[in-house]
Amino acid sequence: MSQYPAGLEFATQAPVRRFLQIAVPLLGLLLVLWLAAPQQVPRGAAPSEAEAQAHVEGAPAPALPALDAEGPAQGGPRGTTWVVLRVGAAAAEVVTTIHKDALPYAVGPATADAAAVRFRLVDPDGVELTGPCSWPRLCPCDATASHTRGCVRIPHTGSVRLRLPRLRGRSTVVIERRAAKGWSSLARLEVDA
Amino acid sequence: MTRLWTLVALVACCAAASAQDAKPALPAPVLESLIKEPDYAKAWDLVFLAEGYPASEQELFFEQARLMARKLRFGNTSFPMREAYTFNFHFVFAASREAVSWKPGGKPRDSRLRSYTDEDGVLVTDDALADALALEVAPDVDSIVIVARFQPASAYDVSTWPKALSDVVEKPDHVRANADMPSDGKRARMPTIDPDAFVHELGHALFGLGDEYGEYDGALPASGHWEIALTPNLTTDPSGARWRHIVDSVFEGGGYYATGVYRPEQACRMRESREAKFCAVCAHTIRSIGAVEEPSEAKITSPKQGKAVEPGALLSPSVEVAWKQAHDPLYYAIELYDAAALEASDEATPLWDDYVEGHLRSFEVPVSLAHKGALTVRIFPTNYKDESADAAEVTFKLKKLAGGAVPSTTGVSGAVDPTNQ
Repeated sequence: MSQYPAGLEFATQAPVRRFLQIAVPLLGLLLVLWLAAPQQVPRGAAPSEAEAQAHVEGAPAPALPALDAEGPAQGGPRGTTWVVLRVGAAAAEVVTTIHKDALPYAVGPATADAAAVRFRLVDPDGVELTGPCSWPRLCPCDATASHTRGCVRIPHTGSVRLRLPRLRGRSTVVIERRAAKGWSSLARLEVDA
Repeated sequence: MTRLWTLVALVACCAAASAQDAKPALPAPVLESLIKEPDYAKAWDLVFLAEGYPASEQELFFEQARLMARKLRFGNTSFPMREAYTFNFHFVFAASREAVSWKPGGKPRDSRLRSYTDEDGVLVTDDALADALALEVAPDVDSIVIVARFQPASAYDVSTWPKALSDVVEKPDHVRANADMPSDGKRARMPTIDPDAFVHELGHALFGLGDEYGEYDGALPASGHWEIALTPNLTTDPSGARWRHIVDSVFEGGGYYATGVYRPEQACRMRESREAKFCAVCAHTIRSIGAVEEPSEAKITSPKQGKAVEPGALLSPSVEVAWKQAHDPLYYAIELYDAAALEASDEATPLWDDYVEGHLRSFEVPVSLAHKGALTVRIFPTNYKDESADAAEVTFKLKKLAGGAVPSTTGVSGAVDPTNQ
């Protein structure tokens, strides 16, 4: 097993450094030219929404079409969209969205009917789909950060890999957990295709 | 004017960036896969991520990750896991600029997944970065194994550390592997020097098994019962009723405590993380994960709906449940609500919640003396796969006390229905 000296960063190679010394100012120049060009969006326009946002629901969920479909709708197999979320006790936020057109969407071993937690996806056309998802069981103790018991991580915050049917436009994803007479909302996200 | 200042700032940044040595660009990640089941929906796709390796050590990572994979592909101990799932293996090499620090309580260095060693000597990773890298590069992802390359032992002079620090970790070999339970992400974090713990960590990450070893001399505190309830191979019931349909033995000690927690057999991979085979209960849990039934609905038989309930000495009314599922019930999630608040909103916050082992058929629900009005209890039977049946629910009132009673602070205690054995 090879080892490298303590604290030593991997050496910067000279050709790379020369390339950067040329490329970085050039990039800066390109940015300046781009900024100097006429703007396409009029000044004073409302700032765009964050790429994707989520919040733990305290307020009532927005009105959505009635649940009328399970699994891929309208047509054969479709690809998969993965959404990575950071989840805490008070909020959930989208870290990244990854589309895999070649990976057919499959619901996995659990079904939405039996899942303790599910997603409800409403696509831009208002078509609604549901599927199972995992959601971290956050530790109720007073500690402020995740910790371990033995070799098991006890999360105070977590990361979720949310597997969705391939998104076809900006969509709403509601995460819900089973309640006594239906489902209650854990988080709501707006996700871009 | 704002634009002008933006231009000035940009030019200044560019000048500053070009004046100093820029960090080298990292090469694109490299993927190597061992595919046994090309239909990813049928396979269990296990993704190994390199963490803390320099670009020059790509082959070393592949060797070390393949070594761990071999323990799952060919090991005697992991045989039940191969019966449960058909595994595909994906090895993702993404180079880092720096190796991971093994100093307890250290900060993340310039590694791909920003890993570090926490104050308890446990390897910690930025899980969202790990998830994103795995999903970006691998064709499919069911579980993630982070393989961490640490700084060499010579990176720190341990003799200069406070004893509290060096007692935790004295060299890279001491950093602890760890895992997430299935609902928390199905990840294992493995120091490269500890491949033998790999199958044990997968026991947590893929199958929700609990640790059967003890670290503390004392008894399990009441506040820890909920963690035991979530694991099929541990119980707080000394009768061993939780797994009697599988094996008829019970041994005290497990779940990190010497007393108050019981395990099924003397030896198990979940107790000796680098050596033993899985005990009968763990092997059964692993093998049956694909075939485990969806939980059936439970029914609360006592108290009766709308009745006034005797609070009892600890102000803890007893709730009795009938659940026809005799085998492999895992746990109940229990929630106690102010009935009026629940009536007003189905998203009301519970007054109290807990998890209870699924073989129990009666248990006490602690109620605050200060509470007035009706209460509602909800019980969700849940299985190994985090599948849940609709809740059983009952609303009742408390009879007034003669005085002198104190609220329960002991959490849940329970009793087994003998007809369920």
